[in-house]
Amino acid sequence: MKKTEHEGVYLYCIVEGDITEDFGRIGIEKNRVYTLPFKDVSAVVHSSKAEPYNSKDERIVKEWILSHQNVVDKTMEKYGTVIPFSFDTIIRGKEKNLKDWLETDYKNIKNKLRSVKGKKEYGIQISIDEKIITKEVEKKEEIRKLKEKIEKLPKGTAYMFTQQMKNRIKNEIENKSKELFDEFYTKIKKGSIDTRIEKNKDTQNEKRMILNVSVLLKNENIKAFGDDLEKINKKEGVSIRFVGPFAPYSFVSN
Amino acid sequence: MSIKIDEDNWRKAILGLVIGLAEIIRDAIQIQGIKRMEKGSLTDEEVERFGNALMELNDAIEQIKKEQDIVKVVKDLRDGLDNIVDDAVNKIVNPEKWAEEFEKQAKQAGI
Repeated sequence: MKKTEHEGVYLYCIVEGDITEDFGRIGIEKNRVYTLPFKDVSAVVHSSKAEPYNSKDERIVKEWILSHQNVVDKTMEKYGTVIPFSFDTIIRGKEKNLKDWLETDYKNIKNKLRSVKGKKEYGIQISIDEKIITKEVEKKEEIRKLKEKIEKLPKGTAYMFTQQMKNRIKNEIENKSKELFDEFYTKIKKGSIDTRIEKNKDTQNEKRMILNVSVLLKNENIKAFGDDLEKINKKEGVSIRFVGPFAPYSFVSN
Repeated sequence: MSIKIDEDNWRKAILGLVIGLAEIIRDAIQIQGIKRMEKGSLTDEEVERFGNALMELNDAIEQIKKEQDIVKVVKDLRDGLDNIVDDAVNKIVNPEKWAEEFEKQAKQAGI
């Protein structure tokens, strides 16, 4: 290491228990990952430079992030409850600085561990098929009548009413989306400890995402929750993605 | 957003911009027209004339786009603008807002 480079400790996650373990070279850029225990909590780290990992090459960044997640996942598999940290969390200085931080933040860390103990994070994305929903909307009395009326109108007037009808259909789809959102979100909130709404992804192949949410679930409730979601999945024109488990990334930030 | 103008395609790019703007203005006029129609402030004859005019405008725009081979240029431009507007204004489907409303209603209902 050059003299100008400052030392740092790269932090993957904090795990419950006084653990001394060498995970081997599974870290970012094959760094050796090991634990630094303090009382009954342990930080999972590798020793690095005191500067963030940074690259313009997306593939490299992707690889780093995958390595980061992999370490967190492995720790979670083996030891259960973890507080995951986001990619590029680096503590400046030697290991002692990290231990000092664990000491000053100990209470807070313990609280967080308690809040996620025996729980895992899952992602749920619900989309509707615009084609099917549009067809449903077009069956509505009001729209059907408008259609019949338009057929008998002179050309220019028919055009105007057609445009008006298109707007109405759009509004109806909007209302329908909101209705479904309320229905699903109610169910999801009931069945989970906590939720975080994420931004919807763009519409693709006429699949419009209406709900993108991270949920925190108790381990013992996961199956029942999944079964409930399955019922939603059977609704016509609605599809659902249920992915996980993840370390509770969305539920430990300040 | 930067509008890329390829040296070879500058003519297409500028024409695309003009036609894209024409489409946006047409859309605005159409929205106004429908509003007035709904309010009943247009006579039947006016509605008919309005609709015909818009249709003719549509035909003209489509013809120019095809003739000048700028269908894609115009679409890209409008998609780009749409994204900007989406970011600036709320998205049509706005889950954060829904969630907020949901919480409010839940609170009122005492859940």
